[in-house]
Amino acid sequence: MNPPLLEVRGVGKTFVLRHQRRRGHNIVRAVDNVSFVVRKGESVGIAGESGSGKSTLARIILRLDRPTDGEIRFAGEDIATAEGHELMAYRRQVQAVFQNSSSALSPRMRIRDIIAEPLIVQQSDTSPAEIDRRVDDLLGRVGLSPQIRLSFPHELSGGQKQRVAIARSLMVRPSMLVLDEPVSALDVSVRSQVLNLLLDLQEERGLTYLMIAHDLAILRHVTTYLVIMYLGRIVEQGPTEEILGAPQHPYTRALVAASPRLERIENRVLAALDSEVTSTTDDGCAYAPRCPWAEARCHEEVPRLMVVGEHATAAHMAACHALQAVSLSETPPA
Amino acid sequence: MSNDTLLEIKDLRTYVHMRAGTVRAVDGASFIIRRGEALGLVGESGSGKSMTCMAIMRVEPRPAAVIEGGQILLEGENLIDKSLEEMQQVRGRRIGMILQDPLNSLNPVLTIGNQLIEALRLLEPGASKADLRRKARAALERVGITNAASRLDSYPFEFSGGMCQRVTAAMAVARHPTLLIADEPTTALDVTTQARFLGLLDQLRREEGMSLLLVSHDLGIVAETCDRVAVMYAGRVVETGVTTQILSAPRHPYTRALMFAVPHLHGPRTKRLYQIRGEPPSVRAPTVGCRFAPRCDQAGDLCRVQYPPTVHYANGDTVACWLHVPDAAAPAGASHTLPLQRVDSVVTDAEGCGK
Repeated sequence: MNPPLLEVRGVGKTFVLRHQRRRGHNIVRAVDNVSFVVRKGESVGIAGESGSGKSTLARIILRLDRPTDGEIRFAGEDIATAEGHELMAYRRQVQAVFQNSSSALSPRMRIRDIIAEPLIVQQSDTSPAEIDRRVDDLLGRVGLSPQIRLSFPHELSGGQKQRVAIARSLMVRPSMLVLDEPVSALDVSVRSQVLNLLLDLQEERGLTYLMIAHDLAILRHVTTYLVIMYLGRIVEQGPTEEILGAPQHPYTRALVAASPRLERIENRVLAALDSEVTSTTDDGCAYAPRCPWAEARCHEEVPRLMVVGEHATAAHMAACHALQAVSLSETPPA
Repeated sequence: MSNDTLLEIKDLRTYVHMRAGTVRAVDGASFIIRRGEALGLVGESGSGKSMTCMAIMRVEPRPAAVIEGGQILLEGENLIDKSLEEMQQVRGRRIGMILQDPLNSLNPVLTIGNQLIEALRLLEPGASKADLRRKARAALERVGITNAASRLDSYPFEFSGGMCQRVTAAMAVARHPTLLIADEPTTALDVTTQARFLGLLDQLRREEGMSLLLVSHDLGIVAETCDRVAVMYAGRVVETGVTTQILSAPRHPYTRALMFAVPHLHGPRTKRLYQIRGEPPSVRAPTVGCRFAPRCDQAGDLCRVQYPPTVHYANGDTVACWLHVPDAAAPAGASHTLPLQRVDSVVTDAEGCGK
């Protein structure tokens, strides 16, 4: 097993709301006590719906935001509090590709300068000729013609812009990429080009990926380990195939059942979804208000992650009181 | 036109005239919707699916967008010939519509109740306020909103996206239309909310006995909800078919490519996805030949110079592809080993998913 590259331990992020009428309800726990490990060369996925905290977590890992609790270690170094040179060194190792490449690329910079910028920011002593050579190399590698070097982002299509964003992220030769919904803004016929490119690049360069997405099928294609989040907390984590093949937590089951697929299914079990996402809670399981298996205890005590699954490998864990008592029946109780 | 046809689109052309040139957003689209059926209209951005919907409702963005030709036959009446006043009798009453962004479809400064009552009053101009309010409450309950009585006095911002979309659905069916057009109704919603909303659409369609035109870029969404599917590419409908046919044996190379280009949640995992080369075309210039030919692995010389005629099958399926034209000179240069090797390996994958 490869050594851990990124270790996230007990990370939390709370936001304080100023203008909330009711006292005592002015804190939002966007991310709450999240821990997982990304090993070198591995692809880890984070899945969840809007409000699950997955993008806040990505921003924290990229250190665009600071965590309010917990620690983040990258190659053994604590980066949660890193500053100055340490932070700079971290950003040489970890780069990001965001969902909306139109807003991720400066509209007033030419493609050549956009791709070269990370290296220039890092104040390397690379000569301009060498930078040009590397820009051309990367453009070719992501499947773009070197002729677009002098274009502006608005002259490119969505797929081309996302390729530019990928090229830029590789300019400083990072060891890890954080991919936040990298293909969800792309058309289906362009999506597979970008997914194949990401997988090829990973194989060639031994890259480690942390991929955030709401589409489970895409996560299944790219990742080997999956973290499922609900309202800021991890509800289940484990090997991707195991989680999607035999989801344990009631929320994961609902998510898998609700994902569109190219087949017709009669009588899908959507009973667990008879209500909408509620707000975060300090007491009990965040999913309890929607969960058909919920008991009194679920509303009072936050469940901890415990080993689950048929194979009971230490890697597959879910946070559910009901799961610990008995294995859930296939259909929810009436 | 047979009796069970509710809406027939014939060779519809809607062009958008701009300073930079003319965009042929819909360029010869044809399909039919039968009574009571759900038809899924699938295509990528720019394929013309939304412009088609707007043309059916006659709300194409005038003056830039102009319906240049074709027919939109609703129960035999051509909607293109109707005046705007006559169209008001069609909108809402005979055709209802749900748009992508529920928050933009609702008036932010009116309560949910008042907006529902506005829709209901059109149906019963003489009804009393209390009566309308009772009906509005029933309409909310029907689309699965709990505490409907107190929710009537809420504003749209107090509702989640899924609940707002339920309200727009309640309004769209308030006047019992025979056709409901839903243009990407779940794109702004989360997966679990999406599944429930699609369930609601299906329930409403069955209760009302209406037809549904569900527009989506996601073949998966359409696969689960619709009886038949129409696939659009660059302003034209390239294939229509019964959903099971489209899923098990798509005829058009574009449909096939779309299916194999997406990863699946179940079944064997493919290492690499099938890749469609190039990008969707710009629809500015008038083009000759099949619009998909530059990206098609099976395109031959004929495909590049002449648009294929539409082939009709006995069950009503259609496909516009030279590969399916009987007795046509085989597209010179086309490889007849269909499809590519890579797709071959994925075919078994898709079959695995279907079980």
